[in-house]
Amino acid sequence: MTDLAGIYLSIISYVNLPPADPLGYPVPAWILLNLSFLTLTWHLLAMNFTIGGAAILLFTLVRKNSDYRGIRHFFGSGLPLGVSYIITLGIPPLLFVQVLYGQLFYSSSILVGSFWIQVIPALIIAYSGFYYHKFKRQERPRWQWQIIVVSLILLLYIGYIYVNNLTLSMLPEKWLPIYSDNPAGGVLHHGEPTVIPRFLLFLSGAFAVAGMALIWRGTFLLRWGYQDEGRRSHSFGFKAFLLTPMIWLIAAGGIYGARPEDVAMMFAASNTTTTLLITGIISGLMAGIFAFVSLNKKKLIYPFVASWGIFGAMASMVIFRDLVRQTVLSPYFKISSIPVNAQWGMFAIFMVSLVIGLVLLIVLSVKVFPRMAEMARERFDGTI
Amino acid sequence: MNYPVWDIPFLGNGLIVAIIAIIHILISHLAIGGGAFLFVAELWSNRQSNGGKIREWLHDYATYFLVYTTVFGAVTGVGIWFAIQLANAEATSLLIHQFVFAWATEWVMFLAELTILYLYYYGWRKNSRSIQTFLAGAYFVISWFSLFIINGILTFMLTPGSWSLAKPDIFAGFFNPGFLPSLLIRSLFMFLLGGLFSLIIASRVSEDDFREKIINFSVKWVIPAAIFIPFLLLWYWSTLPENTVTLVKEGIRGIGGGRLEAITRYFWLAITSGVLIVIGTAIVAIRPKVVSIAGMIGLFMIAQFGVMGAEFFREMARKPYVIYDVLYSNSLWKQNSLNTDYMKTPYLEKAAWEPGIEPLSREHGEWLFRLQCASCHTRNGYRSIVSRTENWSGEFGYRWFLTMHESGVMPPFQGDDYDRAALSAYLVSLNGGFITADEILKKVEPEQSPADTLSLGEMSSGEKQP
Repeated sequence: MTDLAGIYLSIISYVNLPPADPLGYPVPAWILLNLSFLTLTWHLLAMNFTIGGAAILLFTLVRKNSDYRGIRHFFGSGLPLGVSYIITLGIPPLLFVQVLYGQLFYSSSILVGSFWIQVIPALIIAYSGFYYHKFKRQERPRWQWQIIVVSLILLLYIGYIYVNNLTLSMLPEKWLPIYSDNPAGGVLHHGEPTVIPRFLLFLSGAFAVAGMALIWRGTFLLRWGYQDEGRRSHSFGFKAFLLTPMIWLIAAGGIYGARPEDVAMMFAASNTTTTLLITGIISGLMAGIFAFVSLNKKKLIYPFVASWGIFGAMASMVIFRDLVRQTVLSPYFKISSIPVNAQWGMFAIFMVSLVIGLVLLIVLSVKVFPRMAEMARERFDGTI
Repeated sequence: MNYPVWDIPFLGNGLIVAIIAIIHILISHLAIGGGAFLFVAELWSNRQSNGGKIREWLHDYATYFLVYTTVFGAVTGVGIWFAIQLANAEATSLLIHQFVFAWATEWVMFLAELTILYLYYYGWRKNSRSIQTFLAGAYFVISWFSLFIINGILTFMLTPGSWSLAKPDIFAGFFNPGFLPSLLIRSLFMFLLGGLFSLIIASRVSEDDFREKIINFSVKWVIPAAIFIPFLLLWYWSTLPENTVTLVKEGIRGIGGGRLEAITRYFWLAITSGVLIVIGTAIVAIRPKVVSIAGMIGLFMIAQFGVMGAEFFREMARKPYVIYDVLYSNSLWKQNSLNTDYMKTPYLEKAAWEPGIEPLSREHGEWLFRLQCASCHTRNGYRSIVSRTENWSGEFGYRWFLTMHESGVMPPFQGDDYDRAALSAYLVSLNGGFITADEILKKVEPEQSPADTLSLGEMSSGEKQP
């Protein structure tokens, strides 16, 4: 870590990092970090479900194979919910990144401001597109795949802006020249070679998560006695899943190719990075193996273990990403240097409300889900 | 000061915040009032002989409600965050660091209300009556708590009460003087919106008797707001800072920079919109046959104009601060403004984001404008500086900067004589005039030349202060 820090020390003189907020951290940083890891992983799962699902939906719309009717319906109905949870689960990591790395995040956001604000209209259009498809696909079948293309491209565009901004937030030495040339925030491409591979890395889970959703669907269909549709869902889901390791390898290779010395030093400097990489790979393999084992079986335990594998792989990547950020920023920003002015009372209120809220949602879901499942079965029986 | 200023031409960063906020506020209040409407309508339908028919109609209401509030409401809510961090990172940082767990708690409410809304909507055909009623009630109560939380943060910005940077007592800041009247006004307003939204959906019903029944049920939702909001406004008024009250009462006709008689106009826009809604609803109550989709959307849009008036009023009422008495709109801390040495220090020495410009050049003035003024003013668009300074001479601007804060709507100027001359020359140049900063200095202080008093090299290479 020290060697890598040394490289960046040479450029410190060009950095003008805003001072930390005068109020400091409201709880010790490790709490904020863990909350951000957990909620960012949730957010990425929702994001991957939606992007992977939209890609699969598009494929099934273009192919027009009647075997895909059920899968089309599944994603056509589910994608608006996916976007909804991308937004909802995206709020806390956005909140915690502002507390932890505010002076970095705000500065880079302003530097790409004209793009950053485009996230909002782009998201509204993408979200509306999915809802339009959900409610109008029977009534107005024309232009449906084109609408999904637009929504998918807009979601990818949003992801690209996010990766660009957050990468720039780790490169304060580039800020002043960018700002003096573009005070309206009208520049996005700043020549950082890791942006595209990082973008791909965060998308790599899309097919695994969406594929896993199909495997879950298939398992329930098998349990309800719909053998053909269940097997079809399993098979399609697993094939989609297999795209993930390929994309991941391309992305990881791209990052290594862009900055081989930095990557080597990251691993040489700290055992944590190696541990996280191994944990991520083992989790990913576990997900893949159990996704395979799930095929054509009714047992819930297999997709359950596979889902935890995906969660573990995603969480490892999220933590790894933060470790890279802390290492790169270490010459001029250290979390440990920010004072803590504890707000334990507010933190307790948050935690209590979180626990009560989650328990309430679980209880209500357990009550309502069987009725929704009943509706799904009726749909398969053609009664509604 | 510490952060770059998002210098967006014509619109200005403040207007972008306002546009997103105005759209969001209407929808977010509807998201709660509509929840209350669904809950009460569920209870009402249980007691009616044609309850099934009412619930069919209610499903129509819930569909539009779901799409409108989740797509436009949720995304514009996040949009406000995006916009405020671009428009004023310093203030956003302070709010986030002070209220992060209040916001996080609000997020829990948001997660819960959203999930419950989906369980309610997607379980419509199969859920029992009691579960549906419970879900609608739970949605309303939880979403109201999210209003409770965000209201504390919003009112803090205008009336922070006994909160201070030196003693940042979160509960004093949250339960500030404006908290309760604002919460009650917003609560009544959201019921009103629930009713107005219902009138739009009711206008789609073709059967006259049934439509009349729904309209009669819906117009009642406006009554609490019509009766109580005037009194609550008086209470809210009593909590406003003295400076704000003075601004509204007298209007401001400050020379060049003020023009905040606008605050009075926006105040009246909000009041007039409220009166028009009450009149419109009364007409609908008396003559339900006049209800049409266009008319009811029009009534709803009047509420949107009312929100616009109220939101601009709230924003202008804070002037010259973004967090009252704590942080000026251009990110100057009040505590720093009281330090004469700090304020008189050459601005280029403090400004972290200027790219090493030539002192007294046109760029000197341009960067001063960008870093000190562009958080509120554009050059020739929203709050145009060109129109506000069209009759200025270089010397006038140079002198006016010293006293501009006395108008009550502008922050104090940061910088020395050279900064004032550079900015004044820049503003004159925007109006097509030509005078250099050097010439201004010679005119106002003929006995003193810049070169005698300052090493220009020192100005450009001086170390920045955080």
